[in-house]
Amino acid sequence: MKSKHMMMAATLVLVLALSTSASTAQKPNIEIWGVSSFVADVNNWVVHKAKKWGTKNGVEVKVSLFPFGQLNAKLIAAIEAGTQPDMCVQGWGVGEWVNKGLLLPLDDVVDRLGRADFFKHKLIENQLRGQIYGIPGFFELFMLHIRTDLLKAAGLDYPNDYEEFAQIALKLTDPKKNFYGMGYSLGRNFDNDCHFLGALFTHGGGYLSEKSSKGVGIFKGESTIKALKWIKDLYDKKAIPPFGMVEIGNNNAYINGVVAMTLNPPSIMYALKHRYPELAAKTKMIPVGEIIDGGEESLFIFKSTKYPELAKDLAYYYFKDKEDYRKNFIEAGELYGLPIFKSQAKVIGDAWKRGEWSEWGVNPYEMLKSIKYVTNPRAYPLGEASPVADRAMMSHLWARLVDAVIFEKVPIETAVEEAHQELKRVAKEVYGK
Amino acid sequence: MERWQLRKLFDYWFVIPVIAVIFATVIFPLVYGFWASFYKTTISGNPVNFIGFGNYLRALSSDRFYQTVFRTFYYTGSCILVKTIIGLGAALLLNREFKGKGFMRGITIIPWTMPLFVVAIMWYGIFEWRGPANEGLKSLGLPIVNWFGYDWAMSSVIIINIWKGFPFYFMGFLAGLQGIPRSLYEAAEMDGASSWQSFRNVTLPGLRPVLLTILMLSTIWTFSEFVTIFLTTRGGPGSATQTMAILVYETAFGAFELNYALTLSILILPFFLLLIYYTLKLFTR
Repeated sequence: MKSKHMMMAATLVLVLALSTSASTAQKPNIEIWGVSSFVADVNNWVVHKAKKWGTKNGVEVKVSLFPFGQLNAKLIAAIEAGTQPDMCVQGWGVGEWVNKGLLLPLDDVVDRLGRADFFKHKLIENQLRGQIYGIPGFFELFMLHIRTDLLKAAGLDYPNDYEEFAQIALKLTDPKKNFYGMGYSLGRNFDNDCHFLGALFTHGGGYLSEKSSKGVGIFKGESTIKALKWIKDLYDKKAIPPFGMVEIGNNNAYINGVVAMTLNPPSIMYALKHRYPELAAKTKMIPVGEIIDGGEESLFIFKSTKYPELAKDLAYYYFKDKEDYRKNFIEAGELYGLPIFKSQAKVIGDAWKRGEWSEWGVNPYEMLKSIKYVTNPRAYPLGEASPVADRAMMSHLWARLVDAVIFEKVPIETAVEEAHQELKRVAKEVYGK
Repeated sequence: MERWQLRKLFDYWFVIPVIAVIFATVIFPLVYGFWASFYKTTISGNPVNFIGFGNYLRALSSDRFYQTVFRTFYYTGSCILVKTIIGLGAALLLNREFKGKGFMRGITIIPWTMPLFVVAIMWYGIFEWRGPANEGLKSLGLPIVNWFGYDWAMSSVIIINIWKGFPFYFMGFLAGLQGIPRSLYEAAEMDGASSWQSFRNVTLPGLRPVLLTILMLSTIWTFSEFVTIFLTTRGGPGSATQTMAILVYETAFGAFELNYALTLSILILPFFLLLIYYTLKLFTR
């Protein structure tokens, strides 16, 4: 009798399992990979939005978020194995993937969202051969975080350019107290890459002017030498702490009160507002030199997806409700990222005029209009996405160049020549000439 | 066909799955890697654009490759040497009879049981500018050290590897020591051998098989160490801690050059093969 009951129960479980799997199999499914933000609300927004769309459209949606820096390694491995997801949210490497013919153009999604509402220079960061392959997630501006109390005590004003920035850094440096004027990330990390690019562009330099190995000739110019000299001079004069060797080195240095200023996305401000409100009250964020936008994270769809139209609809759904995007993605992160839409940036700009977001020393909306450079994947001054930009950044070419000059004491000209040769090889591989 | 021949043929069928598994998990990846290294790139796992020995020539004419190989040997050699000394010392000490011996043995193997990423993060905190290591130096009136700075970064990652890895040596040596018959020491003592002579002529030869095994395994692991270096310095500052594992990773997943990364891996393969060959040769002596 007992065994009969058990047999019936087992049959029931089997039937249920089969019916469940059958209903799941009938549903289309979309797999999304992305970078996990340090802001939990942003991650929730990314996941919740996709699930909501899935429920509405009868699509099984699976979202996996990976820590910063790991997504590309996973993507490369998955692409080689043919197991890449359908789409990426906050992903990298658009230039590289387009070059390999792996991504779908998303111009139709951009048009549905209102092309005119995008900041043009942001939208074209994912443009190759006249088509848009990725929808950018947000601006991630490298703002100068500056201690207003120290500035005031020293009788100094905000710097207007890199020359003044350096002078103030030197004046605020106090070696006896192990206090440094400028938090500059050294070592093999993306902040070092971005800091260097900021210095390079501010000094009038660039690294790819045309789609060939000849295009990297611009990097050998005087501007690159000047940018490196600017960094080295500050390091040699001990205005830069020697211990900022990791990604968050300059963040920690600022938060711990060891440096007076640092260039960084507003993640520092996010941490200050949540954990160190006193220091937040003494900190202003202002632009200096050419502002670098490090926010290359974008939404893109792989051609291999079985459901291109559904994936595009999901991409559209993510940004369709622009107010929701502003409130639950941008503002939830304390403006760590700024919106890609003019309409939403204007709302933030208006709020700033009313006294909100007072940690910003300038109107964020006005500033967004003036951005010229995106670190990656848009190559400068080429003006469109390029695998050369992706590869240089991902292999820390810029950081290695700075470290070679600072630590390995390689003469600047020699280090630039070596980096130039590496760039030239990459450009030749990418463009075949 | 005779019955016994049929039986033998039938037996071979049972071996086929094993051969298939070895082929799929060992031979195929090696052959694939070698084959792909002759191509410029791969698309969805398929190598395209044949360039012959292009990747090999590029690696062998690159200073960066030789510097990295040298740095990797330096890292591996330093770690192995110190781990051997500390592991042997700890095993000799804890092989003696004393109260709390079991507890001490347990404590000693804790680093080995900890996951690598935990070890990396823990030491990252210890070596922070204002971390316990520098606070300790300051309290002793000594100058503080920039542990992850250019001059010290390699030493720091070596220290981390030694801390994590020495218990493996300790456990191996302890097992080896316990396998040496007590009578050999007694005979040496009766012959008037000093402690050093006993150690040199009884302990060390007795530990030889275990020492070779440990050295071979540890060399392979240390040479390929990635996690602790990547999580603490990412191979920097500059190239201060860039070992082969970091270079291969960065080439494959940073510079998007999977085939060149495979070439770099293949170029260091002879080292491992030689290592295994000599170790096995020493075993058979």
